[in-house]
Amino acid sequence: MMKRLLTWGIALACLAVPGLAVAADYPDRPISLMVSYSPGGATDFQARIVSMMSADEKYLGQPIVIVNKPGAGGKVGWNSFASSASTDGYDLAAYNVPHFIAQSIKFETKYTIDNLEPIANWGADPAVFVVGKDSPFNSIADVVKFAKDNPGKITVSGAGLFVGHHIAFLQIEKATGVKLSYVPHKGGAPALKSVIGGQVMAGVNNLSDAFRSKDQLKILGIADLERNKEFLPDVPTFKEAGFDVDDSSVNFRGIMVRKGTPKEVIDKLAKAVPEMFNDPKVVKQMKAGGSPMKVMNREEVNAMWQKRQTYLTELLKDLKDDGK
Amino acid sequence: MKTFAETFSFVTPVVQADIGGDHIFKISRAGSSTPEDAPTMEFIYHFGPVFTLSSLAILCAGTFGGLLLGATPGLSPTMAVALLIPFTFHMDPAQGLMLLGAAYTATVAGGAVSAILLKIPGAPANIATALDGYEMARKGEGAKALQLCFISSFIGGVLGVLVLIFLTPLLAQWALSFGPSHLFWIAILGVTIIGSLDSKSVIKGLLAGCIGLWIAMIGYDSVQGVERFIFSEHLEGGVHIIAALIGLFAIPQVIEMLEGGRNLRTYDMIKVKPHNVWDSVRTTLAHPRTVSIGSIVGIIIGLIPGAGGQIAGLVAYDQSKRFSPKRKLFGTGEPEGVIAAETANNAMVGPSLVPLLTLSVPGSPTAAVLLGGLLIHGIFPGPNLFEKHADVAWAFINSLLIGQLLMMLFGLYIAGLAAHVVRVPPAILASAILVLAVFGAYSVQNSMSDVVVMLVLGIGMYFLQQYGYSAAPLVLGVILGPIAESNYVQGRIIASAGDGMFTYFCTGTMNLILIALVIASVGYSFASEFRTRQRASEPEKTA
Amino acid sequence: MSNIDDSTAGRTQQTVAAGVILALSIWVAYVSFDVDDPQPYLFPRLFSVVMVVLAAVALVRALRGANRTGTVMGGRQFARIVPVLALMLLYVFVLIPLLGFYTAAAVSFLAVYTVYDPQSHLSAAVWLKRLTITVGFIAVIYVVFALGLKVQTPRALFI
Repeated sequence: MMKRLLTWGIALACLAVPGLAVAADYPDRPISLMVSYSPGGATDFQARIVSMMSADEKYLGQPIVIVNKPGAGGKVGWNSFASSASTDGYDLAAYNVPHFIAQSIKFETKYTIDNLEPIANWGADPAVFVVGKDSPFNSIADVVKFAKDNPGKITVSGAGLFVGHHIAFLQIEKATGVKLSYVPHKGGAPALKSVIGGQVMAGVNNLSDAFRSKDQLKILGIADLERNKEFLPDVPTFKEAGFDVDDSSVNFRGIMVRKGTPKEVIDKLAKAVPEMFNDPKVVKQMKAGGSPMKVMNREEVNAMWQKRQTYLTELLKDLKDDGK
Repeated sequence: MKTFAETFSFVTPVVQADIGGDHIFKISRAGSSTPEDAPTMEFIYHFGPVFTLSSLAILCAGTFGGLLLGATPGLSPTMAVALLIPFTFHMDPAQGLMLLGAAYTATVAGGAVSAILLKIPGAPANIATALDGYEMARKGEGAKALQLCFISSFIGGVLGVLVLIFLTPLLAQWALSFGPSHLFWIAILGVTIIGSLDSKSVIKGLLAGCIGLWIAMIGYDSVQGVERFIFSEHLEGGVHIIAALIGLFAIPQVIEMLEGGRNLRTYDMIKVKPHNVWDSVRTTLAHPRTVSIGSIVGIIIGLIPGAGGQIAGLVAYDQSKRFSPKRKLFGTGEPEGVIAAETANNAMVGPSLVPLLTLSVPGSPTAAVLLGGLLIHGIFPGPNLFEKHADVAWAFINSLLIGQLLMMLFGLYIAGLAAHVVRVPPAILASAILVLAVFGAYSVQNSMSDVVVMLVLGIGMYFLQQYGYSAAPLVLGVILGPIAESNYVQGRIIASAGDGMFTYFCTGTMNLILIALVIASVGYSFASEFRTRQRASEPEKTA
Repeated sequence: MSNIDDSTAGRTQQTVAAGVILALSIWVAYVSFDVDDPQPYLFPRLFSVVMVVLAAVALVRALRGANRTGTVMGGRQFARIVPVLALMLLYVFVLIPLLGFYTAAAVSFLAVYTVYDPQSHLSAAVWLKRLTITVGFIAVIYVVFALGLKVQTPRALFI
């Protein structure tokens, strides 16, 4: 009897201390990766690909499970992550720059770059300016010319407010000095659908998605520092077209944890995760899906976050001065 | 692709034909280069790869897995398909897509299992199924309800896939022409059926619908990100539709089941009647009107991107009820209700892929996930999908067709076993539903807030139900609220940049047709309310 | 439970229900109109007005005893559902944060089952059956959600 009680006691004690798991054993159970967009979105799709090799002993040795928490352009998911995710390394989240930085500047969010820790970056998707196949516009200059004569008449779709598309839109308005009408959608796919279906006159969208629909679209410009040689070698950048739009709207995607996660855990992740992103299988699938990759390590991402924070604070401050 | 066809070329002569099939296909299509001449009968050539041993095994696995995932509370078809995508990473593209196609088909039908047996609709699509299906199960006709459900799913599903095969080129552009103004009116049309969905009182139905609209507004506003009606920290993320569904349907059910207290009499009251499959087939075929309404509604709603196939079941249910001589019996365990809802649900599957396959535009969240499944294999849907990747594209479409058949066969088998669930004593069944509801609500997005919201909504709904307010119109409000609002807001921006509100929302053929339908629907509701009142004011002798 | 008639209990309960909904509607309308930036509240304004009107009509009809739907909740019915309501709230608000997700599920399952099980509480065989069913059910749930779907559930004292 005593023996049995003792066995039970030990069993219970083992069950009772899961919180004390030592960083050395990390990870000893599946890890969840929160994506603040719905299943089927570009971020969700890419997160599923880049995390597929995680169970391999070479990397983390435990599977990564995707959890979707969509809402308000990502705000819902990141808010809940920054306030209630665990800091033991079993809760990861996908970040989208400039989205979460712009939102943390513009709204009272629970997240800023100060209470989150980057792990690694996997992708960079520049924004492109698109019009429908039958549109009279054939270049950025055409659009600007028309908009000068008809301020506010051109409707431009994009995936919500204060996401990469919207930042690119604001930069375009600022650089060209014309007024356009931004129509926020719930995600990139519906926004692109509105351009193809002719509900709006133009759109700002992801390079990868626009590239796939290039037969139904005209891609007029790319908001990046240089042309995309791999997918769209013929599409000029805004700079080439004579407008000062840089790469601030490029959608960087990567993985982060909450501040307060033990240093050993962060180090382990920061080492294994970029290697996992560079796995040949991951690279192959990402390329097949037309998703541009850009693997960056923790230090590089930290620097990129800081740079965006400074720039976006400036850009969004200008906006307030315009009385918007 | 070739490799597995070669490996399994011994299986049937059809396969032999197919190895050349690819070749034949190219010749037959050599003269045609535009998508308008899109393939029609070619799909038959491509049945070959679907009938190899390995493909059939994958189809069976996909169907069976899909049914299980679909029946798991909290897992919508979209999430279930997303979960399966990693499994296809290491597969040959055609087989990977077969798995996804079969799983998509089966999850939609699988949601009906929990809707009928436990009154937990697996997805919004299955709400209408729960209305009569669960009542049938309580009467001991669970086996029959499930059989009807799978047979009518099969009929609707096959019709839907046939639309996808034959009419895609015709319909793709049409589907894409739906803009914010049209979707706004479609949502309003949905709102108008709220009143008639609840057969007892139009006012209470509409009021429940309004409460639903309000629940949908809780959280951050989708356009500006402004907080609305957040009076508890649990509401910050808004009310997730799946969590709301579980709460509104399952929790009142748990409480109702225990209303009898510690009562021996309720213990073994329900006798499960085994039911003959052929009889169910006859029952289904004896309702040609219901089956056609269900299929047509499902196909049309499935085609419209952004309308959310979720409402197909409810709209078909409501329409069938309006045209049925037995409309009074809807909601009390009327087989017609199950048939209407399930035909529509599965009829939606094929058409919802129309804009995806030819224009690369996903019309629904599930289609978006399937797009991901295509992309990881380097297959970009678009006008020349059927030229560049004919084998994979047809294998996928054919797997949807075969998937429908397998879904029905597996489903009918499950129907035999699952009907025993209602034999479980109420105390155990209620405890099980409670625990499942908590797990289901939690696993939607790993959030305790969803569990709290689910429970509070559920308890509230129990009391509302006592006073004649029903869950179905309330849920319809929750679904339609965001569709109506976001399209209204988008339409307003587009209208103010263009021709103004009135021109944008109220002119144009499609807008006018939709407005006419809205008026007709409202008129019908008032007419029927008037009739009921007259009848009620007559002496109660007839009752 | 009896069908609704003109009984005072029925009328009172219907009136209270309609009153609560009217109060909610008025609050929703108040919040929607009492804002600085009307933009995000255009849609709530629209339906909250409709809601107030409908709730007022429902209240008037309840006061006149003109409801033909719903039932009267008797005191005994309410007494019977109190335990399950209490156990549900206890489960979600106390047991999960205290014990962890699976343990709380097991305890709550057993509790609801036991409270509403008409069989004798004194028989050891009955208790054995209850425990077996509870453990079996939670094991199935564990296999599906933890092993199959790899859902990460909140841990506390136990899993």
